[in-house]
Amino acid sequence: MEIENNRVSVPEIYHDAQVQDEGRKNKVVNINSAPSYQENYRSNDELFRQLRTVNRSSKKNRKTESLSSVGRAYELIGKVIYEDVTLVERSNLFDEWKEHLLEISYRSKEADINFRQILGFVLSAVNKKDVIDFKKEEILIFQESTNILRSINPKKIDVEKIYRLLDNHNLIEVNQFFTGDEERIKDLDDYIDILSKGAF
Amino acid sequence: MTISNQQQWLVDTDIQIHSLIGDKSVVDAVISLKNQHSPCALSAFSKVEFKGNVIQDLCLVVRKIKDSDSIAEAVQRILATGGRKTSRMFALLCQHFEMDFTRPWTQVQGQLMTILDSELFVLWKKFTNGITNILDEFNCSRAKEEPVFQGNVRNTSIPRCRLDNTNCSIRQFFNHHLDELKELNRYLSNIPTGELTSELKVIVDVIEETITQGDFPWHGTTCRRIGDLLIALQSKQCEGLISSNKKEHALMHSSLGYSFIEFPVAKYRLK
Repeated sequence: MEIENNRVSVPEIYHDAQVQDEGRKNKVVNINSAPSYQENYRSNDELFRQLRTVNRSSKKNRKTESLSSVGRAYELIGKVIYEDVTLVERSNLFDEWKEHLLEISYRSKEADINFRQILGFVLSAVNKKDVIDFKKEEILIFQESTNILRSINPKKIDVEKIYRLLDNHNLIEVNQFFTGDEERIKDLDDYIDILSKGAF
Repeated sequence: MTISNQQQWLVDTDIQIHSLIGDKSVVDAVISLKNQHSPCALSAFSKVEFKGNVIQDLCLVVRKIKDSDSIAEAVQRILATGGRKTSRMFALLCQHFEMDFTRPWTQVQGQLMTILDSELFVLWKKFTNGITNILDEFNCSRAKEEPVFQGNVRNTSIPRCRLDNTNCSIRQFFNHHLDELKELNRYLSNIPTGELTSELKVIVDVIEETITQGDFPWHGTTCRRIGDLLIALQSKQCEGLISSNKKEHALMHSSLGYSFIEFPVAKYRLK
């Protein structure tokens, strides 16, 4: 660690652990200008009560972290709800957070199914959408989902809880992957042939 | 206020599937039909059918992706074992998420598995939670077995019914309706074989076997082969049945004595 301008800088590799412990033991330096999720939820008692249950259940799993982008994604989504940012900044931060989640999905083959499920819920919910499509309390759920993803092995109760929270806000949609449309079927069959030949 | 079964319509498995996945025009029409006939109920046996079709198909796709070394290999494996229908499901998902297959395969694998694992969870939840009343008249053991998604295990298998894993009351249920089933057998036997669907032929065989043996041949996968009949019999305690399986129910409903509303799925499909 190095001390610069009265702030302690830490190597990026430790960011996750630092952010993770923030607000729990009061011994970790503030590496993140975004407020903690507890601070953000103070304005919404009911949501905070629901999400606190998630944290309690998965506390033990927050020790290890292999996907370094998750810490950065958590920082970004925290800044999205920070009130001092302009709409343009907010939109950019949100898109950057989405890109980080997508990057995480690229490396999630070896992750636990529960991890992929939570990540998949969020990716589906934000697919082709911008920050203005979501209310603040919905972004808080994305923040908590990202927080849970900092654990490499979230529990099933975490999956259920995040599913319920997102579904309560109509953010869980079934992807429409059946079709009887004849023209579409022909296009799909052509697409399958292309994929099966690896010719793209 | 409690709602008795007689006040609700039973929706067939295909109707519940159409209300979740498919062309938007079909989904909207089914939801509208269900709203018109609200409250609706679902047979617990529909969970077995849904698991045995949509959930297992998607699970197959995830496994083939995981075990393949390229997208071409994955698609060929999906085609070989799941057929065109499953491949189209996969292709639609790829298009919806604008998958970039020029990326390294391990990255594509991770992204696809993330989407599909969450989709499996969402589909099961929406299918089973999307309706308030689940009818389980014969206490189906298989319907109680939910898919398992835990650690790195995806268990969506449906075991064959055996003495050591089955504790249902399908024999009593079948016996209770035996007179009606005999009548149905007589009715279907008078219809030229060419006009019976393969499922109706199986239904005739199973009823005849039950009459001959004096007991319903419940071992193995008998119930899954006669799903339409089991759901039709359950609808007798409701207002009636809503289904898109016209060929089966158009013939069975008058003989068994249940009301049948056909959902003409082809009419609502995009042309």
